[in-house]
Amino acid sequence: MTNSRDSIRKQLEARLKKSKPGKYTLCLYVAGLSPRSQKAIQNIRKLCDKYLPGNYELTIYDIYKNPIVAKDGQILVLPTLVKKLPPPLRKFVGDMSNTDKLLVGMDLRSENGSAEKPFKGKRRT
Amino acid sequence: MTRSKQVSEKISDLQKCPTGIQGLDEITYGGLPKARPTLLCGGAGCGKTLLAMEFLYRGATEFGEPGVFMAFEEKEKELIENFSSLGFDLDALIKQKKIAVDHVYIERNDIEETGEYDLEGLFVRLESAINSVGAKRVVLDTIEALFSGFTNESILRAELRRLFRWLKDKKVTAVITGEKGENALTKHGLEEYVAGGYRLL
Repeated sequence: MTNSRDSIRKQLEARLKKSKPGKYTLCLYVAGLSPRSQKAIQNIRKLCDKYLPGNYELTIYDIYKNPIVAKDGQILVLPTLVKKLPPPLRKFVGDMSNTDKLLVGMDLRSENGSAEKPFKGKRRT
Repeated sequence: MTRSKQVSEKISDLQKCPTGIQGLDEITYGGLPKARPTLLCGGAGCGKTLLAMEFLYRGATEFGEPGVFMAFEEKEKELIENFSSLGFDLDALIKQKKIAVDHVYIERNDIEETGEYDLEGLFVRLESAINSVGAKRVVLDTIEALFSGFTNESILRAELRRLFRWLKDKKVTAVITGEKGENALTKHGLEEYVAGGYRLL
């Protein structure tokens, strides 16, 4: 028993070391191929590539194809971006054109906007 | 108790959807306008949710019309508990696919608005709930909760107008509840959009 538990713990720790600290897990909910959805996808990809290069995981859900995810995720407004990790969980709605608000909300920039630095992977939460 | 908009017998060609609630069907000459949205407004705790749910419950049990309850305030479990204490076995109707409940949770402060958006998520959820039971009746209780979650009123109002048109196109008899306002029927002026008629409790 203890052996297997230890080995599981070791595996978890090893995996934890491999994964970068503070990796961003993002979910974007859109409605089909509407212009607003396309814009949101483009905007969020651009933002992630600039400020979180190689340090994010973005999943895109089309609720037309899969309506149940809208109910399960309590999605009402589209497009919606959910930042699952790092905590705290945050929700953003809109076509993601307001980069400043997104950066502040994702803790990539302080409220006064002075420290606009690309993410270097040293942030811990 | 209930004051109805001047409904004369002249407009008897307007089809009615019986609520099954005895006194109400009498004074409304047969029920709510069929396949149209009706606004139901009144003060807090006056029984809007109860009336709306009884309309669905009787529709499902007495008139063979399945229904959808979109709850913006209570959770599904709370609704089931509340109504079982009044003798409505909601749980059984949900299991028999005669009533579908979708609880819409709106965070008050946690949502950042970063550009243009719409309420397509609500439409998709409503449509999938309607399709899941083949609903003929729909209740939105109370849609005004949207105004506390989102700040862009012009988007909300445009989307509400679209919603009520969409409900008519779907040919469902809908009840939309709203809190009584100070100088208007509802706090956020919903009466502007709902064409079918209104009931003031």
